[in-house]
Amino acid sequence: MVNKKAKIRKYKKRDYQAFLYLLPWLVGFAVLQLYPFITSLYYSFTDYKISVAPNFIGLKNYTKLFTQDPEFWNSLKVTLLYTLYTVPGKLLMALAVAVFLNRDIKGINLIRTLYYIPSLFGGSVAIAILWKILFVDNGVINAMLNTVGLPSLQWWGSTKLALRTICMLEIWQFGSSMVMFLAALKNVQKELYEAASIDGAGKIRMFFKITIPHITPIIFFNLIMQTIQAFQNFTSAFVITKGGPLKSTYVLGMKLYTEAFSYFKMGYGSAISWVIFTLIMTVTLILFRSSSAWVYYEDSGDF
Amino acid sequence: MKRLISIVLVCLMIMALAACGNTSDKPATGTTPDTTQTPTGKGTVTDRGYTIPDEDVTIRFSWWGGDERAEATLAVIDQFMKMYPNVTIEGEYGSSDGYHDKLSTQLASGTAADIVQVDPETFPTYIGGDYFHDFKDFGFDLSNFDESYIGLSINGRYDGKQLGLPTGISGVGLLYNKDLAEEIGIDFTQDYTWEDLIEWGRKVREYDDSLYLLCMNKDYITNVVVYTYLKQKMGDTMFNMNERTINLQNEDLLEVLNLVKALYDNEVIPPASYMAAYSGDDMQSDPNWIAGKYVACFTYVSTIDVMVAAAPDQNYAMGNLAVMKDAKNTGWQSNTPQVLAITKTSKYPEVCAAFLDYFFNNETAMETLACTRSVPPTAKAREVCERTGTLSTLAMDGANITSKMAGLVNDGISSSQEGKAIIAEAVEKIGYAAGTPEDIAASTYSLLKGLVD
Repeated sequence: MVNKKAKIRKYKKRDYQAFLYLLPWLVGFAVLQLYPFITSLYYSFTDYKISVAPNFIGLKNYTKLFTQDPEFWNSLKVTLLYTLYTVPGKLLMALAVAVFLNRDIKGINLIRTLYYIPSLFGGSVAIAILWKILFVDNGVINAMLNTVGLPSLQWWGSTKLALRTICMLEIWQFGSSMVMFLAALKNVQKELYEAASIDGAGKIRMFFKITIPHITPIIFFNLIMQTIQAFQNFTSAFVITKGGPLKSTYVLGMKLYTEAFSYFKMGYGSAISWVIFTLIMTVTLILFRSSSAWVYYEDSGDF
Repeated sequence: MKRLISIVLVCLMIMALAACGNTSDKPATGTTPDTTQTPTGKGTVTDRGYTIPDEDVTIRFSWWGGDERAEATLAVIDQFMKMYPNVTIEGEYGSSDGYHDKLSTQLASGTAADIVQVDPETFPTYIGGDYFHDFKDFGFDLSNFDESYIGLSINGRYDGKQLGLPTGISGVGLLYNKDLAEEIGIDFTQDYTWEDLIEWGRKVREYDDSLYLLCMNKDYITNVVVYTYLKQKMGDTMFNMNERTINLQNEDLLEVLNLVKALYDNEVIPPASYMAAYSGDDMQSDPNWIAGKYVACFTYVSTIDVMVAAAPDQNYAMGNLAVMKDAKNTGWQSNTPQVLAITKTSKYPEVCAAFLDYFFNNETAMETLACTRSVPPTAKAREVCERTGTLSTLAMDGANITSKMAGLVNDGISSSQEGKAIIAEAVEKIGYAAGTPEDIAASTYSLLKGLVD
């Protein structure tokens, strides 16, 4: 690290061949990601509609979004609530299951595979539709509630419940986080537990004093990934509830889609996408900032 | 460890963020140049007067619809391709879900299929883009169509140009369970008003409180009750399309929202929270419909068969449509369920026209297509279908009633996706009693006004 400049000078002409090999990715990145990324920023300052050429209108889309659009603040609230429900819910669920699966019993590999299955389905439309049918008023879930003597609930019809039902779908797909937690749990040195148990520490104390600190990097990673994903949620709301009832599941992703692709207001849609982008960026940066206070790295490497 | 994680993180973040910024599709030039290219080389002139080039020609035809429609359409494509072996027609078909979202971006980026099926209410949105050929430019034979029908803008004619061809006759129909209605003592064959519906709704609940008079969700209340009632009351559409002004008054809106409230309050229709899971065109999945718990439902002529297939055991018939007392217009919309258009980006528009000429005017094609796009649009095709027995009695009755009751066609502003969404939201608020009708009418009115301000 001492002589940074000297290091850079070491590159020879031949080294730049690397870019040739990188070209497929570079072209893909430039055409499919960078270009749309920049044009959407430009469009967000225009009144671009699909069939009419864009006119520059300055910040109008943004002022309209923040001051006049009654749906925006509702959608923002719904998105934040969705994130607040799903991210901790999913992490707790994944960690709990990982702890449960982190043991040596017969057939553990099969059990692990079974628990991972919901995540293999991913955010697929088919699963969203299945979820919808399970939770309809005369669906399986209510029938099960009734057999144990509980009343039926309007999972999709109630403005209070619909968002939570969608969150449950997301939390249920905890597999990928769970696998990472499981790997992290396996990495915690056994000696630490042995030493602690000799010192008389109980299981719960060991979990909070040894396990949790050692897996904080993975908690951090999962937290960031899940948060980004939650802010961008679209599929379940779009397929199951179409944002209803009474816009109670109208997440920002759906508003973006509706404005851009149903009402053809591409400029306005682009502005919304940049608001979501900024929101994700800010939250991610805050999480990164906070990480130095609670994330523990064994190799104490620095960024 | 930390470095590895940071690299993974950065990569993933970039991907996630780019996905987020990826919302606007490919850049689009607003209008596409008129590319009526004459095909290179000489061609064969068909007996219908179209020139088919000698080279290999591939055209794409996109539509939405079920399997039956797809099979019939593909069969007609095959027939045409057998006649002209150098022509290949590729069908692009699927569900109506998201069809127009995709079509919009394709039209804007010049990648739409050569022949496209379009929803007539969405069609006006595309007129500004100058995307479609005028069928008259090809000397298209329109003689099988009824001029008064094909001349309507909702059926494809804009400013004297025939930009689309209607594929059928559709409109709202009232499908009812004849035996159940007779048992309870309800007669849908007479003329009746919206108030009668409320009266009958109560009667049904008194007869058996597991039954409802009408199977109806918020989208059908919007499309069937609100638009129709307003046209009956006002004798005009909600907006003036040409001057881009609003005809609707706040009182009119309040009146129709009060009617919607009465439908809910008197349990003529199931609660909004129950129907929330069966929105849009999904009423046939309602288990109560399947179990025969409704006396009737408003549906479209083109979807009668879908509703019947979901609960096939009842004895159905088509009833009359509600008209208010002293109505200024019958208000019921009768129009094609879709139009077919040839895009200007097509390399072989004349081949497309030759194919559509076969599609609409050839007897074999008529027989193959039958009623897969609702009741056929031409008298000749209806004759063919009746002769071959492919036209169901329910669909025929529905088409007759809806054309008899045909009134004003909705204006393009109120029937745009956004206009419909605003009204559907008001209906939903009434259903959930989220505010008084007065407040909901006032806020909805200002949103509607915002569409033309």
